[in-house]
Amino acid sequence: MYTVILGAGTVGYKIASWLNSSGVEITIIEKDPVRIQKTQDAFGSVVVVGDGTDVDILDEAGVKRADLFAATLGYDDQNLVACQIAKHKFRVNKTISLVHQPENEELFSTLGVDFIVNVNDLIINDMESKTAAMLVEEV
Amino acid sequence: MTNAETGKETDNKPMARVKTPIYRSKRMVIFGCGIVGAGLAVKLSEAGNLIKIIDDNSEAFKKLPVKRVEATSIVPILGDGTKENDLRKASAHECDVFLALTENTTVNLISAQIAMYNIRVPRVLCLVADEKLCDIYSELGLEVISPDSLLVSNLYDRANE
Repeated sequence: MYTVILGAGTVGYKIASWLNSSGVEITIIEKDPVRIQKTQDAFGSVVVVGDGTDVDILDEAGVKRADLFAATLGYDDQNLVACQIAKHKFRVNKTISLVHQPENEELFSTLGVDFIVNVNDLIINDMESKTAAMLVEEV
Repeated sequence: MTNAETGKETDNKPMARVKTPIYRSKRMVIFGCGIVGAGLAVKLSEAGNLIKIIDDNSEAFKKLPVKRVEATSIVPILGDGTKENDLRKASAHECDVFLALTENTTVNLISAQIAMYNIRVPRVLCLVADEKLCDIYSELGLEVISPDSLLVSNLYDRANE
């Protein structure tokens, strides 16, 4: 399996290290010099430097032969456009993306993003489940 | 000629009185009050259209002529054009044409697709400053405008004059 990860931030880096230790071939697209250095120190030369919404950069990262494209940036617009390019231009098998604005989940799904991780919903659900017990009055 | 539903002959006579076509003013929503968005808003409102222009920076609205804003032929809306709720505040669900004209291509693309698929605006135009993205998104059915190709075709025409 071959995976291209967009973004080496907190999420992208963790996903990369999980996939890397599972023996999956990875490439990471990142433009921030500090994150590039950190990623290269950890995983070797797996970084393509540049903007993940640029068709040429995605091509260079080998999205064409990827089984999975994972968009982990902090902006919905960039994640969406990157996934759409990966899907429609490079025919990647599956795309997964973070979504930060909860109302965008439906749009991403309409536009063909295969797996969607709704970040704020996850946080809210987690907080609700952790505090739910406090709502129950003791008898 | 027969009517498909009733199967009866339809009246083929020309209408007794043909009205002279009147230019119906259109309701348009523009996202991005930059040089392009503001400039177009002024031109379109001068032509009699009703314009709402959305931007998340109130300073940007200073580009709009005060008279047009006071006459409400251009209505500035402070909001985020990448959010469906804010687009609806700008009455995008009641407009004829939506134009995404910020300087940021990916922002334009998500906004235009929200207008197209979630709000179902009849006509959506999107500024895309990248030739390769233009090709991909026009294949996906979006009406895209590329500044570079506009410039090329304009210069081509002039050079051939």
